[in-house]
Amino acid sequence: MSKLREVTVPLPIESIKEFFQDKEIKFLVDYENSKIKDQVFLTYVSNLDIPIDIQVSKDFDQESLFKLVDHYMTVKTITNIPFLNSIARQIILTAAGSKISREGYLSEKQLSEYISTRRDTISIWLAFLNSVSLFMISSFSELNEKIKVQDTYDVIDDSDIIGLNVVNLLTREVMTEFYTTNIVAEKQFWFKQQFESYIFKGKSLYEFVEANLKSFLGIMVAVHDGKLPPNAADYFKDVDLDKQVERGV
Amino acid sequence: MDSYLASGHLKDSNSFFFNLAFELLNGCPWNCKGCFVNKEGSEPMTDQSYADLKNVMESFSEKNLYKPFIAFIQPVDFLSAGNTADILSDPRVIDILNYFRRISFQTTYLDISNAQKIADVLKKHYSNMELEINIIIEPDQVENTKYLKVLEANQDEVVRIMDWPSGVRKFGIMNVYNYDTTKVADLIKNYDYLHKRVEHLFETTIDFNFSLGRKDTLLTNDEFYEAATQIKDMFNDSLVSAEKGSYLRFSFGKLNDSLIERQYNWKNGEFYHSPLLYERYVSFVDELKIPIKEFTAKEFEEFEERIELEQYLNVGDKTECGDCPYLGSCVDRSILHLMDIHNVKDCLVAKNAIKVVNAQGPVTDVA
Repeated sequence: MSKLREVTVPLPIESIKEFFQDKEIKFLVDYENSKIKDQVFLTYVSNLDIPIDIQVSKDFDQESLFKLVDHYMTVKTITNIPFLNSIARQIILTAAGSKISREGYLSEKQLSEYISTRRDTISIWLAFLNSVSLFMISSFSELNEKIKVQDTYDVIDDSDIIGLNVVNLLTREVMTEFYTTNIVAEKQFWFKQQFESYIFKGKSLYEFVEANLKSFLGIMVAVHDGKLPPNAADYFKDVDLDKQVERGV
Repeated sequence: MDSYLASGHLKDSNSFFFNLAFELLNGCPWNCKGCFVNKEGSEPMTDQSYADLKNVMESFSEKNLYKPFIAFIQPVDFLSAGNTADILSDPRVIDILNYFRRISFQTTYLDISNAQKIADVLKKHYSNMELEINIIIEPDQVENTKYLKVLEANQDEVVRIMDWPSGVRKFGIMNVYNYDTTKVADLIKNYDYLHKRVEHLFETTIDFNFSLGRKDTLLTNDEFYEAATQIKDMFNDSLVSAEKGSYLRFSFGKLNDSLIERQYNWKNGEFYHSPLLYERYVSFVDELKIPIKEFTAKEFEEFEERIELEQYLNVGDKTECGDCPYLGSCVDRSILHLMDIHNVKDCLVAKNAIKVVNAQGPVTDVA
């Protein structure tokens, strides 16, 4: 029997009870027919904190979709919804200059329209992702004693400056492509609140980048050495990271 | 601290917790400030109300994915009430209460002369249950060392008399009223100071009891807002440590924490909704009455679903809730429902404390 349940939200109590009995169940939310929408929808899903994705029809109203994506990119909670994660990935990588990852739910026209009309939001996402390397450096005390990233870069001390769903893009695939693309070089900042607080739903940023630590290290070393090959993902598979680290950056 | 509270993440849970507060006790010689309990307003359990309760308990069963957890016996000091031993000896009451895992009382500990008699009844009929005794402390007496010594000594003596196999769980309660009317307003509006004066008397932190909700008529909007704001300001103006935050999690709204709670009040055969605003909010006004006919969990669930949806749909008329990351936990605790009842638009909860509860303090070591 399929473990996927098509639902609307708020979830009926019967659906919650079904989840009590089988934690492998995943919910696919019919967003268009759900009674709560937009930011409240995202907060609701975040609070549930169980596997949820959403589905919309192919002719889903663009304005409503853009509104939902706007909230996703600015909301101060984390909603790990694969459909919206993939749209954000499509938007950000395209805005960063990727020629590879433009495909996705949004058409080229929609992508172009969204990116051109949300420059501030997208700029801060690009700057944040570009600044994650600073956070990584700060996580290694010996390295950071030399570089002192907190003192070297301009500081943004504002917990509301960026939506917290940005951490959903901290995957090996996205970050590898982000750093190996000819990216729009947004300035790097020390995002004080995001880098130093448990702002991500009670977690620090470290908990989101830890799984990708080796990838990031390899990227950082390769960027420093000017050795990024055309296909960076393959390159990092065989790199002896320990040796790279010993060599120092 | 072990799992003294029926809270947890939905993703880790396999059932709802079901708590029910029973208004069964009558008679109290004390006149605690801020207490609006109708001291003679509890009718005994009747054959009809017993049958209805029996239906409810059979419906809120493990088979139906509910775990009956705490039975609160209210509304007055159980050591001073005139009918505690009689009520607890009623076979119908014994049957209903034994569905629960824990039985909970509250007392001022100002008179413990009935403790042995009540202990005998408890041991005879409720020995399989956990025992919880909440201490009611008068906030304006926190500077009165002699008073606190009496409470401590009497509490120790009652715990000795109860001699409960699993130990006695102890929590602290203070009534909410206008603390500016006391001579020690500055002191008792300082949460850290208040807590330090009395923390040796219970396990966790002070629960603030909105007893004024028990007035016979619906509170005016101003009365409600002022009381809630007083507690909100107290926490926002005080430094809430991470340790205290870990204890405050239940009443304050740990994200994801309250969804699996189901909490109700029972009085004279009727069931009432019980929001969580710093502590269980008890009121017997029509606005909180749960319309049930068959006395099944399904009817409670339909009520819960309706209240939940209404709160989300009414977010737009609130000043801060729409973009607040804590919205979900407030809805789960029906705080927005209380706001709607009292036409409150501004935030009622202490967000500074909630940040601590949700571990959003500074990171000291990320690696």
